[in-house]
Amino acid sequence: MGYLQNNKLTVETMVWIVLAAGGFVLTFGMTQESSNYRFGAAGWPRFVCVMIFLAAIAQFLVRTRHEKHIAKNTTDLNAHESHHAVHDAAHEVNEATNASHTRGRMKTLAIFLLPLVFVFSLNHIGFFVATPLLVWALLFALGERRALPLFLIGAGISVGVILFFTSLFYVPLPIGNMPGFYELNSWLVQALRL
Amino acid sequence: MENFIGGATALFTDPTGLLIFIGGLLGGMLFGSIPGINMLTLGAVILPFTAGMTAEHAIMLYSVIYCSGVFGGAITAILFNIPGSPENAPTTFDGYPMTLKGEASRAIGAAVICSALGGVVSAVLMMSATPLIAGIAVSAFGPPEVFALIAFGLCVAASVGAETLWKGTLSVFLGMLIATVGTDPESAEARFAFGSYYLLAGIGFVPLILGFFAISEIFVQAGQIVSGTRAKIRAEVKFPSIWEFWRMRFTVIRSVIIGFFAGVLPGIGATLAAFLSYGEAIRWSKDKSKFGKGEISGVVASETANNSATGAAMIPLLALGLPGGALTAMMMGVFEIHGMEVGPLVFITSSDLIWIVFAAMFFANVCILALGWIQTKTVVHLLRIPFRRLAPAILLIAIVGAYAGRNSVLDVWVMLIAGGAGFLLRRTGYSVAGIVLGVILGGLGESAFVKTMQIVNYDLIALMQRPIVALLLIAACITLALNILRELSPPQTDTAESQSQ
Repeated sequence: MGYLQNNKLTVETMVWIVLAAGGFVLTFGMTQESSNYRFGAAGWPRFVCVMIFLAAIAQFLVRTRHEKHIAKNTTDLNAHESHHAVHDAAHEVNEATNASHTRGRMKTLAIFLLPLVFVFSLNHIGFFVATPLLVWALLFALGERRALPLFLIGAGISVGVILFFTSLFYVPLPIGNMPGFYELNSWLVQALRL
Repeated sequence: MENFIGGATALFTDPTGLLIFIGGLLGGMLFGSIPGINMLTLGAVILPFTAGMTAEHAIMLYSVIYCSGVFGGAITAILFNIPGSPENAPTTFDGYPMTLKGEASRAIGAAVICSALGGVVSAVLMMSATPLIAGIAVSAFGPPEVFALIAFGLCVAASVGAETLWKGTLSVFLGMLIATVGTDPESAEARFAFGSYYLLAGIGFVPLILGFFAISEIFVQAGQIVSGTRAKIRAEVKFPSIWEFWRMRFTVIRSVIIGFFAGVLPGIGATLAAFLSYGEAIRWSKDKSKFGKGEISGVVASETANNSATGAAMIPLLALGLPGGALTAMMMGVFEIHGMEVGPLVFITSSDLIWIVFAAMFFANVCILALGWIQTKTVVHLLRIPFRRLAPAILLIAIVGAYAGRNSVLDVWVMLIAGGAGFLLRRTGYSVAGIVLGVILGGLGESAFVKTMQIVNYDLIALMQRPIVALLLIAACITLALNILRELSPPQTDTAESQSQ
């Protein structure tokens, strides 16, 4: 467990250091001199990068020190109890089926990916076609399985949002560039703005 | 007083004015509470139509929208972790955990009362001492003082919402790094733009906020639904008691003062007021560990301060012609549309208009109390809608909200990336609030720092000879030192917890 914690902390620290170092290196590309300001365009970002680096190192050192302190204070009895706890937990985990875990992870991944796919498709099939598809897919991924509520709620949300932003606020939502979709979206915009 | 009565009489005896007042009140509240759009959207949309109104009606409309819009954002911040506007961001820190604990209406009730209170006190101060306060505040607060105030705010921000001080500090610095993307404020040289025109304009603040708060929350909640670990949120209607407010009287008074002075300063306004006030509430609290977990004084501090800043923001606008934020800048536009010039002379040339505006702002804040009470009893029932049905609507509105600002799909990508990053950072104990604060204060802080260095000619001793700067920077150092000392002390609680387990 402690090993995992340390590993996580090391990875975290490395990510921050890489970010700070990367940012710092990129500031050398900011070469324009300013007669009004001595530190130039690179001054402030460099300061921020150095502070990120220092805070990451401080975090690493302090947390390592704290973990050592905790480990030192933990009695053998507690270690024994925690060993049992870990054993019990592992047993419970083993009881859960691998299939349900995989299903759960797939669903979570789908919920992460759906908005990305939606935004990617916006410039191709347009907002008006993509929106109901996103809403239905999301409702399904979140556990809505009954066909009628799924259809009605999805349609209601999509129509509500589209009407609100297109008819009332004239937001120029993407209409896509694929043949067929472009015409359909354009027609919908014109119809809604009448 | 006579002027105020005159203004109030003019407001309530003019049916058109009254209709505009009610429209502005409801519109501001509605737009403030819809995720993705806010009072600025409404302000921008109606700006061209104000040309057809009288100057009194137009300016009054914007001042009412300002008051009710700042309050409206608190509702979604508390119910869905989605701040309607940046000034409501600190309201989410404790408001949303209160919702998760089934205390949504208590949080909204506190927000209603404190918003009204902060707004009314601020309006009274505005009416009684606009020219005087504007003169003192603007002459005493130059860029060095603003920089020192921001430095102090950043030191406090590091202790908000994160697992440890270091994670809070890293969150704030990450926000500051994000704020450097775009162009340098002094030389306009590109920074971290990688040749992209989009990045040259800087990363949009609205997509970032929507991503870090709304999208990351959808991901968190959706993950819990899928794994079956999501606890059902109770939607109880329970108003905070008078005793509860009496216990928080110092928080309220402190927040009114912070909000008012932050509101007076051009370019600072309600957002910094809310963050500073929240930070101070933590600093003065006996039990700091309660904050971020559903502490009502967190909501009180944030909402009192941001509404207190609304009246104060009118002071530099009217007395000196300096807008403190986006909406007050729009109000300047309205003045210009009607061929008027804002500044000290406006009190002489357009005294009637000014007093109608003052009266409207006062009564708008009083109305917040009544309308907010109704909202507390009604809007909380939104929580009865299962989240799986609410999530697609929130996501869609957030997407359009991010897109509509600049009509750019890239802003939607930024929002989703921020959402994913916010989800991961929250899981690892970092503070999205800290990041947002870093973004806001980072940009402001750099501009103030550049001007400060030019004013003091890079002489730090000259900088420290300014009393307000010295006071604020010393306070910042003390806060930082105390936080570091607390962080370095042996983790007794952790040890005790691990032993008890």
